Amino acid sequence: MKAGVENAQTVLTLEDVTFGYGGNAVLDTISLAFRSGEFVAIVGPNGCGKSTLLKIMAGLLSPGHGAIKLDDRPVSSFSRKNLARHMAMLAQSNEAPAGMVVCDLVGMGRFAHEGWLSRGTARDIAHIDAAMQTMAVTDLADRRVGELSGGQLQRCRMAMALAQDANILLLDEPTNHLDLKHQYALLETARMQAATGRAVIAVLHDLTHASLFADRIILMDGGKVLADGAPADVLTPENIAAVYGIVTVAKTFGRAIVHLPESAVE
Amino acid sequence: MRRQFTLRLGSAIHLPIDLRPALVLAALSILLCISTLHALQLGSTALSMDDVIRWLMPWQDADAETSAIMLLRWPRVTVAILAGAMIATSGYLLQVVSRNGLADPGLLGISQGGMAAVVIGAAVFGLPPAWLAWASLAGGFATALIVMTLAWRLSSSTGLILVGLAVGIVLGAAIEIIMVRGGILQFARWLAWSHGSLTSVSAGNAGMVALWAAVLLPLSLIASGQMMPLLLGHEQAAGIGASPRRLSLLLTLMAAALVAPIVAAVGPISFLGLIAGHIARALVGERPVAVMPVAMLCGALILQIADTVGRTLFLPVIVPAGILVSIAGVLAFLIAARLSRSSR
Amino acid sequence: MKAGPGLVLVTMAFFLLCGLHLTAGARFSAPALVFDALFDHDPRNYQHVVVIKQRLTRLVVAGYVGAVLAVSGLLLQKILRNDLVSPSTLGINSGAVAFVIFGIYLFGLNGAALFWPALIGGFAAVAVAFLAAGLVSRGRRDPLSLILGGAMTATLFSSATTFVISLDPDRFGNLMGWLVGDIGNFDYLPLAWLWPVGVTGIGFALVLCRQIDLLTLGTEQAATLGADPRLVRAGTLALAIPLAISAVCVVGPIGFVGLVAPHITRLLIGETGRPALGFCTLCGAVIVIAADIAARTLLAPQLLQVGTVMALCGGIAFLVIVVATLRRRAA
Repeated sequence: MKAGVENAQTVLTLEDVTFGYGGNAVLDTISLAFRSGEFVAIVGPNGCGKSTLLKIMAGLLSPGHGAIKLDDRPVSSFSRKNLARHMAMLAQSNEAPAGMVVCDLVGMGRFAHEGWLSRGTARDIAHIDAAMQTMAVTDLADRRVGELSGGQLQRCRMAMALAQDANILLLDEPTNHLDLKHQYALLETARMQAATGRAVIAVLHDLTHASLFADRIILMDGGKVLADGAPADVLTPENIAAVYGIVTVAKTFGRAIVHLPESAVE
Repeated sequence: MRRQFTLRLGSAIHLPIDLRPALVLAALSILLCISTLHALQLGSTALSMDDVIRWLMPWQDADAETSAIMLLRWPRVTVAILAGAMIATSGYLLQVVSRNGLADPGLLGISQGGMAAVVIGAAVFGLPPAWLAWASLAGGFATALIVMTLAWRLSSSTGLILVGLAVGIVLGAAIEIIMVRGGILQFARWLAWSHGSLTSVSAGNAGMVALWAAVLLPLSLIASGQMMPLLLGHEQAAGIGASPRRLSLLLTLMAAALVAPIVAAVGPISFLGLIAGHIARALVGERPVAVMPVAMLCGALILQIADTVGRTLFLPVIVPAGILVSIAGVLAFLIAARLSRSSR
Repeated sequence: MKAGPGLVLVTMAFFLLCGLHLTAGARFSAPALVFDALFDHDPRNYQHVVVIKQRLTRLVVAGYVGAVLAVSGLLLQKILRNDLVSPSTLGINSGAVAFVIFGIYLFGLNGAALFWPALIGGFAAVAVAFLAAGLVSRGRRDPLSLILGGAMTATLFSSATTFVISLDPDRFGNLMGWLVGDIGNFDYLPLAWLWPVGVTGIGFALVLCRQIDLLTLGTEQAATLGADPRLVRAGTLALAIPLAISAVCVVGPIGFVGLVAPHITRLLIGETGRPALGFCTLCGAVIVIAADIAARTLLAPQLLQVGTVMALCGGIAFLVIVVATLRRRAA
């Protein structure tokens, strides 16, 4: 646990957020606060509302009840472009037109910083180059999206989100489509982003990944926050049994917490 | 569990019969009889129902006036019923083959193939009308084969339809090039035919269509017993012991043969196959044995009613049945689908 | 290919075809004569008059129609994220034709006034196509369902057109060429007041280009990058439909430029950014000009209709694109 995080500024708060399609609530009175400089992982079983929560934070869905505040201002009062300067998101869908060139794709991240008549400034180019270097896609700059593998495309899209240079980075299952090496590389990048003072909030599937990289884990179930805190406090066998309905044994390797089914470990 | 009763006769015959399809079939048959009587009765000169029934009874002499009118009217009514049934059958066969409820001879290019052959045959080579059905058959077969070949390796079920649609567009352009050669009057006539019109149906047409129907409709009913595995997709169908490729080729050719005489006699009726298939499946579920006859009756009923309405309701204007089916049918279909979806 | 050389190439092709268009015809005119007719016009010289009144006007009409249809197609393909969409495959053309025919038959409209029923028809067709596609796909987002919806819409409206024409064929006698899409000798007359639609449309498209590009990444990603997806989509539709309609009003339903030109663009220089839009504009013009040359010379002295030539070539192109798209997806 980094000491600085406790005192860091709160950038994003959710107050009693409730959301539902029709009658059934997907999110049920959720209150959370996110500080700059921390890497938060949101985990939970399928359909627990974690992606919905991320979309609500990004202002893609408006909550039925409650408020989301960015620097003490309601998110809904931001224009999309202004919001994009504060908050970047890597959406889950791996969608990009096959004919688009990679450097154009990464360049899309700068849209929020462009004016009607000012594009491609030195600052824009610096951010694009830095983002491509971070995600190790500089070699792909002139390739077309259609020629990329799923993993390469995912890294390019991550570079796009980084080029957006926003203070808050929302990642919706960012390790999808990636192989082992790039999964770890991407999570490491996310942690580095948090270390530079950004708030990184990621929806993750893999509990081991979450425990290994995140400063804080939010465990969700049925639209509610079941546990919120340091990995070791959240990923306990009791919590896992309550949420996933299986009895596990927790093994720790350094930071990592691995949950194995009890029946398999004898 | 389905409600059914079993027809048992000795040890040789043991046929389970589902109650619901049987009831639906009976109801549709009665509706078709009623609408046929009305179709014969109504028209620019309406007859009395007594006259119609007397004319239908072979042992009673009808008066001369009724006979004269009937001579014009019965071919049209017959063709409407048979054409409706055949197009619906064709559409349903294609829906099974492509595993897509939207298939229709008009959407798969088969109608256009037949049309192109008819147009070229009639306008360029001056074929006599008797040959047009065969030209249409050749065109339909050729198109079906082309579409099947192009879509052969495509696994997606919409693939066949899209390829068919594209082939249909190419053929449509070719047809149009020939259609515009004869001036606006000829063009308007072609245009009306290209949307399906029963106006110029003769007794000869009726005989020809009846002959084709007598062969193909029973065949389709027999084939419906073999179609169940196809609904699972090719791989799974092969897995349970069917030979899906050969079967779907055969069924596609049969679907092409079913629309060939109709295209020659009345032109294609777009979307009738789609609508009839949908209604039939909504009524009796997915089992081909049950859906096939119900789809036939639905198609016959729809075209019959559309034709009767088109030639009586807006007098003196006569709306071609094909246009009525495309406009009213498709609108009704969309609205119905919308309602059924929002209520779900 | 980079955008720069691509643009140079298409511009060269454009001017080359313009020259060819002016010299070719029922009778070949020497380039010198064409040059004279353009820059040293002699109203008493019959050949000069032919070049200006018959060929130059056709050339302008063909270029305009190709350009606006291509841009319309590119915009639609981008915001709907669907490579198979175009004004003709969405049924916009058929909708416009049907409403124009209604306008003529019911209200006796003519000339400039026909733009409005055509516009209503275009929007109605898109609405019906979306509705049908939504029902067809049952909530799944399947690019093919939109095409099926469009095909249904096209049949629906062309049936209605056919019916109205069958009521009084004589009245529409002089419209036959327009009904299948043809460049007539007097088509420059409606163009004389319709061109601002095309110019403003393409201008706005250039301005909005960046936002539209964002939308190709998906609605959610576009929103988090700072664009307002609903606004951009509505605005783009409000550009693309009038663009296509302005072409339909001039020459009738010419299909597939709007489908093929964006594909050529994508193949050669990619689809992102303003250069691609410019390339697509010129590419569309080149295609229709080429089709017009073919229509006038293939069976000379008989004239073919540009619309039917385009439909035939475009239909084949559509078939190739469909098969290629499906193969790629299957692989």
